[in-house]
Amino acid sequence: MKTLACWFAVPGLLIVSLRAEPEAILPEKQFAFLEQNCLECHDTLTQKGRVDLEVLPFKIKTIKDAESWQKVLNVINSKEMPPEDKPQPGEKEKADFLASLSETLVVARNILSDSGGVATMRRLSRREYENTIHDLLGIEIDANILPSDKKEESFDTAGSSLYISSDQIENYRKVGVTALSESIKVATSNRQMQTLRIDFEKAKNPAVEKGLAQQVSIQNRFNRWKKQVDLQASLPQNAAIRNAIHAENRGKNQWEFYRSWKKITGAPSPLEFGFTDASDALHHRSQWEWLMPPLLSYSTYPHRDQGVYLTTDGHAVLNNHFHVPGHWLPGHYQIKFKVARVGEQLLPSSRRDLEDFPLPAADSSRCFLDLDSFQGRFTYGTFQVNGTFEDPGTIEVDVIKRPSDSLGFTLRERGSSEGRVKSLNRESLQSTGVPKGPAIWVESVEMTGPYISDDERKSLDRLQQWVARLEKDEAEVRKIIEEFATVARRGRAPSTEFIDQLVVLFEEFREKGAAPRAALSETLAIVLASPGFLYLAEKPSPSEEITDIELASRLSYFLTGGPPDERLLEAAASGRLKEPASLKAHTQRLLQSPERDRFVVPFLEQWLRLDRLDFFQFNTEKHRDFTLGVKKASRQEIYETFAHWLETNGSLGNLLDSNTIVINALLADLYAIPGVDGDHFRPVKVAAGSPRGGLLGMAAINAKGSNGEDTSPVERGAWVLRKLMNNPPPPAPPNIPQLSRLEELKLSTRELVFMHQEEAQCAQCHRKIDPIGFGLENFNAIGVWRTSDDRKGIAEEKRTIDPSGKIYGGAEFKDYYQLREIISSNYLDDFAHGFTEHLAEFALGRKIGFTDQGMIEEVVATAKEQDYAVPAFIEALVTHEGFRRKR
Amino acid sequence: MMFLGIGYGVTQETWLPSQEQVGSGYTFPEGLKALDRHRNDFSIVQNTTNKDSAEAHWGSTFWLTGANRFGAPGSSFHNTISVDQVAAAEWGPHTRFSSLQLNGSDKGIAGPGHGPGLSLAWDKGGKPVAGTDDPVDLFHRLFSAPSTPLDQRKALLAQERSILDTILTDAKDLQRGLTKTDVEKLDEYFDGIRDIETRLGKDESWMDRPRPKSPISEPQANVEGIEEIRLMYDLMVAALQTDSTRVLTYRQPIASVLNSLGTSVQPHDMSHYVPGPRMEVSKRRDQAHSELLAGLMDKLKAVKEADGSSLFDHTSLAFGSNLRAIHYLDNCTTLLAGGGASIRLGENIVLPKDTPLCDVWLTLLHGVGLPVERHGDSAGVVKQLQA
Repeated sequence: MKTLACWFAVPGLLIVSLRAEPEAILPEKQFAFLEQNCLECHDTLTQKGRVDLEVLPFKIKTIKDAESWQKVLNVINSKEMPPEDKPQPGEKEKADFLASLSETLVVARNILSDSGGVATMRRLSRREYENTIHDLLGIEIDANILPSDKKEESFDTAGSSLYISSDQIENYRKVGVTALSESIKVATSNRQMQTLRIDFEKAKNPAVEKGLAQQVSIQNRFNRWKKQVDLQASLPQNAAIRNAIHAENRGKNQWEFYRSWKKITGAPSPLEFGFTDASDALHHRSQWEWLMPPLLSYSTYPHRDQGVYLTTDGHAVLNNHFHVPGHWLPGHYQIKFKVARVGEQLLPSSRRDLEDFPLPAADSSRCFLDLDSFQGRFTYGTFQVNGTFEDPGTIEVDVIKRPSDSLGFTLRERGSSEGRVKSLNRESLQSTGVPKGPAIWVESVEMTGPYISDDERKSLDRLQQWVARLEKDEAEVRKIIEEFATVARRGRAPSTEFIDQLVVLFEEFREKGAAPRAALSETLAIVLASPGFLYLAEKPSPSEEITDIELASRLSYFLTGGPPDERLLEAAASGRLKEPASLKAHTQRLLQSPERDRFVVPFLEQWLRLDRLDFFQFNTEKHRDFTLGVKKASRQEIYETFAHWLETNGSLGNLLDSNTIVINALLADLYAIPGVDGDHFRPVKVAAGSPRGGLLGMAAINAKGSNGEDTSPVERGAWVLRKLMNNPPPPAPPNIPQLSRLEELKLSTRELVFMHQEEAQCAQCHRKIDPIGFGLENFNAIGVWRTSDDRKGIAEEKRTIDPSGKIYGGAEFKDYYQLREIISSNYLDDFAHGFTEHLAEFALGRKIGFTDQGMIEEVVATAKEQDYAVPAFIEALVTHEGFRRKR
Repeated sequence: MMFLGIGYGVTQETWLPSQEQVGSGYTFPEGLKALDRHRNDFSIVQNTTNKDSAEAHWGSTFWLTGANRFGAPGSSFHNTISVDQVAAAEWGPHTRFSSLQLNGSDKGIAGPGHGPGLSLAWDKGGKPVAGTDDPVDLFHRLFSAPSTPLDQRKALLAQERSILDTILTDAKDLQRGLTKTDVEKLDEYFDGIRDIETRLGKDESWMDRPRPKSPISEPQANVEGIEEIRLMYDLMVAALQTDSTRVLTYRQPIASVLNSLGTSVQPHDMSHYVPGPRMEVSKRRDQAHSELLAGLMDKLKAVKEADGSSLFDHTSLAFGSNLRAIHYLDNCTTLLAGGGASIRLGENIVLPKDTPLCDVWLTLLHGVGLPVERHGDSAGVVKQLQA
């Protein structure tokens, strides 16, 4: 065994063979560091603290060795060693040693945790379970009583960490029964589409009139009372008490005076004016101040007999809520809005000089509406408003009604509950005393559905036939269960014994009084909680190759997140599926189907760790444009961009840098790119010199590299290293003394982060991470371009951003553009390699280790021959023999 | 036994007593202020660590287990049984619920702080044990009489058993031809089925015993943050008081606690506090936790037994995390209270540096009458802790 002692005896040249047998070896040059700084006390002779570093092998082969080295790393990191009273190593020297040791340990961990290419049988993740139920039964369900299966650091497909528990097994049955009974309800209904039109103004206008009348009455009654009180108070006999009351209320608002009306001889009681007491009168008066103006102003708007305005002040009467009727069947519904921009046309010119209210500016940034959930907790999206009163525009939104969902909505101007409009309103209130006028007019809302896709129809028809057969002749039940179980289990027939028992159970349910279809739901739900359905079992031949039917499942769960369709199963049955041409054809077919979104979205979300966007709330006072709808669209940009390059055979390199971006009107507004109208995402060419183009210029990527308030160069730099340069920094080490004196210093973000490099134990990683983060400092916390650091409390002269830097061990850059250029030209191969590893990890449901490097390199090489076209990676992966093997 | 896990650690400057002031005469730290009225009834234990933990954002995953994440070759995640489940295995048969796992809901905001797991508890195979974040549901499981008559429930139980048999048939069928790893994976499913069977057996033997009358009223639904913790504490006391279970864990909310403090500082930023607003939030969180804990101790003390002793005297409570503060995994946050495990109370107990946290758990197990040989990476019982 090579130990420190041996190395001293025989310092030799070290040849690390990469692929054949990966090894974790601390480089020879680090021996000197140990010798100088550690061995005085920790050699075999002294063994201070019973620590003998001389016997510690430099080649880490066991978990125990790794632990011992981890301890060495920990004590140096935490500054415990070398002890304070001993000579200390130089900072650079120490940082190099720490970097080298932590990197070696990462390699060691990877070797030690390498599963040797064995994919553990995996259970359907919650996402896949929901998709599978949808494809099987034809309706969308919500299985959120099951654990989400999302991981902090790997994919939700990782078989070895997809556990199951007793609660979960019981919950599968619960969800299964609901899914079956609901889908049977839909299947056996006439499935008629229904339409409901809502004209908000019909309820709104009377409510406004009523509210207005109330407020006018309050105002009149209060004024009359006040006048009487004033009159009495002005009489000479009340002079003393009047002055006393004024003295008592000095510094308070003028209305407090009237609270003491009783003391004034002859003053009438507020009761006579319809208030229960003085507090009530004062309360209504103060409410009147803010309830009245919006109502008053609303009542002057034109066209309010044909539609409603989305006002911005949060007045309850003026809010717009609606529901998809609760008794409508579960399914896909379309909500169609007829809308117009208000702009200058709001008030007839004859009245403009009579109105005190500011005319709404023709501000196109305000012409977006939010469709939020009833209580506003989440959003269905933000949509652009086009059209005029004469010729309203149309917005169409698809929503899903799941069983037991009560689908309620709130309609409002973009960001009127947070962020933009809230801030605009506050400013307007402060400067003019009235809220912003409305920018959006809604003529009507129409809900139609359920829309049933062809595939859903097939599933529902199949279910309907099973029920019909059963209700005609219950002796059919055995066949029905068998057919259902075979389909549910992706083409694998169940055992006779299993079916026998299920038939007995069906009969028991019937005996207990359940109607045939209820008994059927209960019985089939057992199939949906059994392992044959829940696990993607693979029983390999001695050659470790999986069967064609298993291959069909691998392919479809990879590319559609759901079970294989009929054509895949047919190809599998005929034995042709594994032929490369056939695999390729099916891959292309699946990647063109709408179900491919069930691959694109979860893969990108997990690969790029977009979940971080939900780890914190964005400060929408500071970043008023980053409302929930914009956040949602910024995620969508990533999916749509990837899908675009997938569809157009574009190069993966476009994710690093590109002159084409894929956006819609909302993001164009955020990015200040003119000429993009409408809610659909489409490719847009960007001008030379635009920071947009490639992941680094995207709002979501920069926003996730923040804390919702300020940028985080560390988070961004580490992300770029991990995801783009395929050079992940070691995990953040524990027990490093934190630099806690900085907040007082009014430093710029760059200076603040730069402090990391003062101490060796921080510098070892941060000298790699931080420069890249600095290069992205021109993007603020929501990805909007800036030239000045907006962190609270920085000295003014430090605000100008300096994005220059140098990639550790690489090229220098003077700004973001050069950084992007360097990454896209010098690191494309690394990016492709990292992408392929993640793709394979997602597809195979296991960690990609050293064992797999051969496969990964072959896939990358094949893709490279096709200029790294995005689909080429996927085709090369699924046609690689590693994709067909159990190990 | 009660284990209360807070995920991210505390504000060390204001929560930990000075290590110089050992014993009962320590200067009471600001972060514990609300606990002053109980100062003779809890101890702070210092210098413990789970030496194999290196995940600086995982306050709960290995807290009660002491496992090494990389302890199993060929796998990048490994865990072992948690201390609560050791006790549950012994005491479970005596109560309606072997153990109860509670979780903070933290609705809407995900984020690290606790690390992987479905609750604080891990079963004997090192697999996560599920927990509930719904106080209303928990209340009904504990105290609400089932609406169906006894004979019907018996019939239902019989049916549940034949359903399990059916599922088992399929599992056995699936098992044939699987590789060794996959057979092991499927064992989790078999374990799940066995757990349901055990529960059914228990349901059966407890069926004719009526549920205890609840000492508290039905909790409010959709409560978050500080109120949620208060509610869960009430439920935990009620569960112990009625001897519905003897083992409870609670993985507490983080994000929603900060929300209820009215701050926009995010959990991760709070945990990496530096002097200034972030540290203030961290301190306020500590104070909120101490107030809640003081309330919990009040309630435990208020429940009197026939002999004049209180529920508190028979309970062993541990509050803390695998993290101390910020990124520190040594000197894990540890507060012990209650008379159940015969621990020295009222002291600042400073152990030798890097004492395995599992030694503390082992000492608690011995204290409550479960003299197991070892737990996790324990080296032995800590004499210094014993009263």
